[in-house]
Amino acid sequence: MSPIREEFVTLAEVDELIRKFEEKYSISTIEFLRNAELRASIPEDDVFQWEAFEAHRNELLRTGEELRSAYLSTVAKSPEESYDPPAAEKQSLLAA
Amino acid sequence: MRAEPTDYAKFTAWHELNYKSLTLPTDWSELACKTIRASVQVWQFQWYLKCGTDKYVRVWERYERWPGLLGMSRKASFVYHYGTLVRMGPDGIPTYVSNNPVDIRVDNVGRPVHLHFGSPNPHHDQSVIKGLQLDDMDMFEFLKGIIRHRSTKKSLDKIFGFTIG
Repeated sequence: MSPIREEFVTLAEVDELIRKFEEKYSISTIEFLRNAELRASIPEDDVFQWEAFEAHRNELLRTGEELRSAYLSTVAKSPEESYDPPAAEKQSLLAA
Repeated sequence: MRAEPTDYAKFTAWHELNYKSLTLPTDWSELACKTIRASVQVWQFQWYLKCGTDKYVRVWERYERWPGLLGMSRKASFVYHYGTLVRMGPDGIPTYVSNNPVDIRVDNVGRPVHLHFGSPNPHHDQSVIKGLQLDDMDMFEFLKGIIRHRSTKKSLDKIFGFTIG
């Protein structure tokens, strides 16, 4: 039996971990990702973890958005939203 | 690094299969072995093993979505580290420090796959290493090498079969 234990992280937890790296090195994550020279000055283990948490963050945002979109696509429209007025009524509404 | 398409189920099955055939020496202990998951396609793997009283092995791997391959992931970065245990954290896991002592370490963090041997610096790129293809190594080959090194007292370069320079 594999000894692997599973942990799941939340967006809030990952945000907090990323914030700690930003404080530790006094740079934003965007700077960290964009500036290779700066990244090279940071110990490799911190670079690994920072990149990993940023990847986790992006994935959590992505899956959250997918879930939200999937949910919204199942929500029934209200009668007002789904009401399709007759052509004459549309014309008068546009004229108004 | 030669990344191959995988997914979380394949990864854990592969680990389990190799783990079953691994015999850890009696003076080794597993401190932690876990995945930290963001989704089915994005996760990191962390494994810590204490060797004797003063050394440890740390395996870190990070997996990300494989662009264009639906449902598949790839190993994006990894660290296979063996060295002196400097400090234990309150969670019973070795805490790393800047310039962590290194006996041997293979990783691809911040640059293409490279080797650290005997000390944190320098980084030995594949171009100066003969006899060992760094990106062919997996965590179990690394672990088995360390086990052989400790049991035979042969030097790590002899065990892994490389020369530098």
